[in-house]
Amino acid sequence: MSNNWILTTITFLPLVGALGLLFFNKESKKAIAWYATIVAFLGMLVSFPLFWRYDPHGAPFQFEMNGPWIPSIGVNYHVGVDGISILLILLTTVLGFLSVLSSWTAITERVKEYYVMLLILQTGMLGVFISLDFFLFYVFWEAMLVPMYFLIGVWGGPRRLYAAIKFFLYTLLGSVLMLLGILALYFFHGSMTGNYTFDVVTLMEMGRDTSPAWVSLARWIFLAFFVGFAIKVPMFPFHTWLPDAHVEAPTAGSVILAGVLLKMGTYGFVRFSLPMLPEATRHYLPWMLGLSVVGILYGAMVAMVQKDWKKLVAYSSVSHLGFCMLGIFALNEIGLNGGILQMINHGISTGALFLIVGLIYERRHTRMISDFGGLSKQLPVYATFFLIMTLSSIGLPALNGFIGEFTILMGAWHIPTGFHLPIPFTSKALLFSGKVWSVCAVLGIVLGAAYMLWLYQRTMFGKLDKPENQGLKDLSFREVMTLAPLVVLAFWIGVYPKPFMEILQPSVQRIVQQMSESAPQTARLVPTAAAAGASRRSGSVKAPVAERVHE
Amino acid sequence: MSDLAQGLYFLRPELLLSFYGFFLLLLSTLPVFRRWVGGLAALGCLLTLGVVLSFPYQQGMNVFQASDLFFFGNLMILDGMALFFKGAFLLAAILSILISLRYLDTEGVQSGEYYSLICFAVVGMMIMASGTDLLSIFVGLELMAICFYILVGYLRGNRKSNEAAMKYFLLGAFSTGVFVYGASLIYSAKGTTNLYQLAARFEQGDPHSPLLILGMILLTVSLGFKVAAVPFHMWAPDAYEGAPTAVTAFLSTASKAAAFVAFVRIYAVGFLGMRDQWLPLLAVLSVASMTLGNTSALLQDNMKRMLAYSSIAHAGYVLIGIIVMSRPEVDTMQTGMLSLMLYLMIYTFINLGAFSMVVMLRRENLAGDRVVDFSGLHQRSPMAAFAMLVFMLSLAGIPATAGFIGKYYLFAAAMKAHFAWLAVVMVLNSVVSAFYYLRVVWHMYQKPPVDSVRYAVSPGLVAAVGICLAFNLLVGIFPETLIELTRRSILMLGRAG
Repeated sequence: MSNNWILTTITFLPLVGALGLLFFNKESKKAIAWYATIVAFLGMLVSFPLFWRYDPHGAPFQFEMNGPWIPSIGVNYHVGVDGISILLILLTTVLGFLSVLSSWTAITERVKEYYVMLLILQTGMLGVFISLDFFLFYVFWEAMLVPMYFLIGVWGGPRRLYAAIKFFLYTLLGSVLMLLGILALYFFHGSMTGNYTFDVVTLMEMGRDTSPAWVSLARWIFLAFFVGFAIKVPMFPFHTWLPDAHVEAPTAGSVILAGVLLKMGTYGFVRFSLPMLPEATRHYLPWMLGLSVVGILYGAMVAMVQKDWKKLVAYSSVSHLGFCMLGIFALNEIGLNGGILQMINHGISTGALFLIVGLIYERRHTRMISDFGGLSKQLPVYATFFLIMTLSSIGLPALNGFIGEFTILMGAWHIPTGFHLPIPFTSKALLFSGKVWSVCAVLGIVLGAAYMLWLYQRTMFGKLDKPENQGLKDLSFREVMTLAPLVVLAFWIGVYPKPFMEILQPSVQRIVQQMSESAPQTARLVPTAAAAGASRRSGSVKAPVAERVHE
Repeated sequence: MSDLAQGLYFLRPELLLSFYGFFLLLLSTLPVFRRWVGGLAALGCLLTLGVVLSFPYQQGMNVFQASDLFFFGNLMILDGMALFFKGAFLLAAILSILISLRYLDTEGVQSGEYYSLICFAVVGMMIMASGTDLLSIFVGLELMAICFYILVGYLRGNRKSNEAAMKYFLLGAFSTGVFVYGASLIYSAKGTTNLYQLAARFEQGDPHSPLLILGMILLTVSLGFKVAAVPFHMWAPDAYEGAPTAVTAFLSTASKAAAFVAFVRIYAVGFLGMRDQWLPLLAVLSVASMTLGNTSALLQDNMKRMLAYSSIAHAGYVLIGIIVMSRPEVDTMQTGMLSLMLYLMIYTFINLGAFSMVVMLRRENLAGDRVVDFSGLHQRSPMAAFAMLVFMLSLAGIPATAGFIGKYYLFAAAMKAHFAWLAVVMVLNSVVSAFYYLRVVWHMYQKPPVDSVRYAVSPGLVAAVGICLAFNLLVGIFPETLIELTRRSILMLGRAG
């Protein structure tokens, strides 16, 4: 196999940059900020070729590199990407660059360490998305906690210590249980085939296994993975670390946290749980869908009552990630497409919203919504950006959020009916169909519009009556530059999502295919209109791509 | 070659180091050489390490035949595991001596005997590592323990140190007594104290004889004391806190590793026939040690006590390696063994590094052993803080550090042997433990310094910390070499002879 260095370069460039940063004098803050920005910019540039050099209809994983790392336990340095990971890598490098750019004035203390941590974090996140070896994946997944811990713990708000520790321990708990799941998978596969390997592509073959021993083990493995991924997402009962971490983190930390870190959880479900454990996924499906919908509604309702601007955006993340999960667990092509696209959308719009909160916090050193009002008169440019991103977050047509939410709802609508949600300790069961899920989710959209618009109204409109707000300066050129790329992306995805959909489609199709191969023969989902995504435009999304076949 | 000649040949490292210890003792009486004794001791250990390494080098890795490994009438063995651990003890001794050089001056107890005692303790451990008979293990155990009784109380003017030595001595003497009593019961039940003969006799006789079970329990108690497993851990926090920090470092790594070698030899060879009897016993010890060690460590404000409780917890982790060896499949047994050896080797380097940092904070008039004393370390010395950060993350088992590789192997061994529940207990515990390791990190990075007294940095200390740091990062990222070395050591393992 020919080795392709591009992914390795993209991933380790920030790390090398961080090492270079160690040679700087810690007092020359300007030089450090410039250097870090250049490194992040280069990191973004080298990732762009993935976008056009990737052949959606080629091999499942491209730009691969595979070499032994710890041969005695079957660990390889195996990296490669498909359409799903490419979009996430691009999201990561773009947001990584913007978060470095946004920190110029926000961070004034211990500047050198700050950028070192930010760049190391970048390497960790990219590593997660390129790994095709479970061990490698785990190393990146967990090693990334350390820089994030420092970002929250050193440069965060007043309760940073609590938030940082909570974030660290919570995520660690999930990851170690996931590690046990990985080991169970590894040993089962090894003892069946004699080939002890952590290679993800090889282990995906387990998805075709229907032996009873595997099926019962797979359910446990699914639960172990679930804890790891669901904490990261975060799904409803595991979300409590998120508001704390978000509120206390510095702006760039929140942007990365919301934009990329949360996606690692959803990515984990898409990459590992679905194709490797299809039977278990179907087994726990009602619970997954239920938790997703609860997350949507709960996150939205809690966001509604927040007094703190940043906390409101943080809870909106819970709601939006619920949408992603709903799309993914619709288990049909259209839902998965939407779920993954919504991951990107959420990264763009929530990332931008956190930047926007950060900008005002830098000026006023408060985030209480009641401290603001009528800002649109004083800060017109700022208010314009905020409005665009608010609408994008709500899901207004012609902006990115709409495409994602609409496709997810279409996918959810076609969830086969007849799922029973057992009521504990009774013999009764609630009957839930795709239509119920969709209706609940639509309610979430309505709530989303309510809390975002209300926020906008309370902060931007009305009288500019607070004297502290009257001297505020509008955005500088650098600040406009941090937001502009995200606005461009929001419009691009909103108006012309085809290139993104085209990249996603074949990879998503493969996952759905893999899932349906192990499905019971009576109710099998068959993708019919494979090319549907190709002609999809905003507002004219085609009919569902999956239909139910009885044999 | 006669048995005696071969025995002496195999015993070269022990002989060399014993003579070297006496030589140091003589040398330290001459005031001219007093300043050099420490350095010479480190050199002696290095030479001995060379001799240990010369065995596989001269003989090739595979020339050892199972029957050739035994010497002194099957009392001792020189297999891969023995060599591996002898190397580990010597490395630990060298690092401890390096951090002692200036530390003893600070404490005002610089003298030659200290270094000879360390040498003799290592000789004891090496004999334990080679022992295949309850008696030879006992001889090594006693030699090691007596040296440690003195070392723990080495700060004669310090009441805490005296108290620690007294507690350690009383409980230690009691536990060796229990060991001998257990050995005598086993002798009366089976007519031998040789572990391999014991293993052979299990194949004929029944394992349920009450004498035998009582003997086994007594040995467990005694060894449990030596590795500081709950409920036999009471001495550890006091002894660790009171002892000179450099001795604590040595005690918590090398002596623990030595006790675990004895554990492995006795349980995985001698008592293999009664694995169903000892399995629940060790499982209880393991779970109790992990849980109690970690939860107690959460409450500690003193760094040395915290590390003591953490080392109790780590003993619990390592016990999983022995528990896994109760499975009859050969490759599962080997995985257990591999994970145990790897973990102890890695743990030696982490813990010695962490204690070195505590030594660095011991300055004139400042005990420097509280967690708060680490405050602002990053501000005052970023490199030192980074080293400590790596040691703490390594203890917590975060990837890209050696500690993760060690923990990974124990998890994997437990999963492979179908002890999933033990693995779950272990991972939950390691999450709990992350909290108190992180507490040190947050003091270092997020708190302002509490004093401005210069840190006691010395070349020896820098070297020791540097070696530990390099080991932790290198093994964390490229573990293959160490794994391969350990694997080969196991391949050379003596089977029943």
